[in-house]
Amino acid sequence: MEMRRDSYVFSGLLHLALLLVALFGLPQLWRELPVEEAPMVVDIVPIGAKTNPPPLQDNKPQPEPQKAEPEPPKPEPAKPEPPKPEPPKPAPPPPPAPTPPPPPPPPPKPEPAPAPMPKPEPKPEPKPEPPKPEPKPEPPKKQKDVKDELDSLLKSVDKRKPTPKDEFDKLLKSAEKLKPSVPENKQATQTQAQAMRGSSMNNPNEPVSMTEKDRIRAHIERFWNVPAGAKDADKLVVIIKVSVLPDGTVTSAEIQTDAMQMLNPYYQAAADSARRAVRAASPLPIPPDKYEQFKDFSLAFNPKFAAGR
Amino acid sequence: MSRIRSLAALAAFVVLGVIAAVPAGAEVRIDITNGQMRPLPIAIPDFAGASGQEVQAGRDIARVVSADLERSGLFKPIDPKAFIQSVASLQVQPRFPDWKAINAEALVQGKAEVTADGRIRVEFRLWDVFNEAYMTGWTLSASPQDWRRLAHKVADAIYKRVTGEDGYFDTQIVYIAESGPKNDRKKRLAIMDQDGENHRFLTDGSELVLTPRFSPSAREITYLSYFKGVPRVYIFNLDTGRREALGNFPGMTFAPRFSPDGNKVVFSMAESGNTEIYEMNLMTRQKRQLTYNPAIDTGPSYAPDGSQIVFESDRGGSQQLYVMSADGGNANRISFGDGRYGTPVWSPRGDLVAFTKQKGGQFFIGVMRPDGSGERLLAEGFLVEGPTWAPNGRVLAFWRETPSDERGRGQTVRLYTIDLTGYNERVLLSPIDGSDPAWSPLIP
Repeated sequence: MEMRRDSYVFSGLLHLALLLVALFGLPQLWRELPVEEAPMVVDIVPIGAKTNPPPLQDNKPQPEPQKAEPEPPKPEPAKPEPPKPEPPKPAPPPPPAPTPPPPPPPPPKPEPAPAPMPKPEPKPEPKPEPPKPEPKPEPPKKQKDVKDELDSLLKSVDKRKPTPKDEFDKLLKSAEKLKPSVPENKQATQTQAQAMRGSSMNNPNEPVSMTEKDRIRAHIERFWNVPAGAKDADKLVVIIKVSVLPDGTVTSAEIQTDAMQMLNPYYQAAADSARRAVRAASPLPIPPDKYEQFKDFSLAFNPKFAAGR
Repeated sequence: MSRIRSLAALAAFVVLGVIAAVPAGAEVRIDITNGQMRPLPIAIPDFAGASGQEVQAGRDIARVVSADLERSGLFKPIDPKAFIQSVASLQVQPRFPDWKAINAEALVQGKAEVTADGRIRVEFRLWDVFNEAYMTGWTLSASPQDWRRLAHKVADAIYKRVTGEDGYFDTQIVYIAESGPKNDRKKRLAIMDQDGENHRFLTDGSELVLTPRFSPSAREITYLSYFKGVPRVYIFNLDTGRREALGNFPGMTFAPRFSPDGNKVVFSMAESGNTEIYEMNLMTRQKRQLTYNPAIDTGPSYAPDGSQIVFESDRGGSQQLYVMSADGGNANRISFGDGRYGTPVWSPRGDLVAFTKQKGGQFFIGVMRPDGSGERLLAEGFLVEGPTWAPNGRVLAFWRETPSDERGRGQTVRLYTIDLTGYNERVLLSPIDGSDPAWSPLIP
């Protein structure tokens, strides 16, 4: 009897769980890529990004010429200002932001960088502010109470899903905003979504931020001559193991493969082109404060977009 | 008990879900999916030589190599005026910083020698400048009049090492050279190197000639010529200069093409108003009918493995492309776009079929996969026709006719090449106007 009831409960719960998963988007659970793979590449943004004015290239007409220098790792924005981490600061940023859009609190969470790639000033503030809004309650997962578990599942699903979406939206929005000018959008931008995102950004274990990766990616892409038109070009993924000095100078670029693969002339050509790109791109714009993570890393070159296929 | 278990199961379910949701991987890995589509900057200094003759040969060879690579659209030879290291010191050891400074990603180091028996010996090495690494190289010799072929072979080796694809520079092109006014056009079969050099005529223009095609050995050409007003298929041997008619058929024969093994010729023949596709065994001279259909079936071309044939047919109401097995069975339509499709040619690397498309009063040269997917149009014009593949399947030659003005002048018929990207269209340099090109395989 009891057994039977339990199994009903069990079955019911599982069904419910499935339903929830179906409702809230199962795929997002294990696909972390969308954000990582194709974000709009804003190569020009320096790493410290949080505060930097948006250096979109098509913004040239805009009155803020000086901002556009992406090249220099420019430590100034992020670093100098750290003292003013007060979130409520938002007011100053709207202006062309010569430097001080004193972003978030670098001290507490140095990582928030990721968010602000193309972002103008407004962005930075919001993030830090809502470090831990309501959605935070992740930890409680372990509770025995089924209810809570479901809740947390729900929440985690919720959180996961919206994050990337919102980020895109935000990016999009901010990009749009950029074009016209950069007035006081902060308030508007600072939505619930943002809060969530900010909180997730605060994850202290977070590895490299997207912005930093994007910057490196964009930098190397400028030097990579794609082996276009090769047969089955989309299958020629080349992994290059890169070692760099703290200043980004490439000290080694090894093709990670086996001898068999190097017998394939297409692969050989693709691997060579990738290695040439890494060498030509040296020094790489690695974030100075994360040298430990970047002194050895891998690049996966994938010529899938190459024409002819 | 079971309650606890079920809770545990549920908890596991939830936890697993959460774990899966956390981005994995502590190691930093960055995916590079975009790059530049720009030609590779390459430095090609003169090949070094000791005597005056060697210096001259070295200079000529470097010039030909440079022109070949430039024409491919995949390389950008750097102006020699920018070179820092001298040819002489390059022979000792490349100074890579000197070449990096001018942004040369690849460097060719070569030497030309005249041997005791009067032959020319060429030695070359290709260097990866940024990685300071040797990439490829060889030594070859040939009689002096073949120095161009040596240069083309150097270009082929460089092309292959850098793109992974076989080169196509040591090849010839046969075409129909056209001269004279429109109402009295003289059409002669002509052959030349892929860069327009070593041009010569194979026929004298007394008969109309059409649709020349190379054999897989590159030593024979099959083409169409009119005999007493009736088109016939002929085979011309480039070594002996002999030609012979392919059988004596009652009807008109046309659109001949060799099979990949060179043992058969496939063509179409019109008999009592119905055109069908036939193959002929060149050894036994037996012919075999492959299609049986009241519609017009023509333009056959073999897949490189010889297992299938692509052809054009109007059996479905309009002119479209079909693929059938080489023995004539299982014809399937592959072209479904708007317009009419014709003159299909299977790529030597097997992955694409080139064709001519006619739509809205314009002609197009395009490619699609053999299953009909992935159609892309590469070139267009008032009249573009006759696509033919370079042996590496990455470049097409075709011809384009521009209309004459109201007074009947200004019409031109020229050969062009275009690569699969569709961006690198070039005029194929031929001494005189021409149509209907056929690209040879790599010359053995």
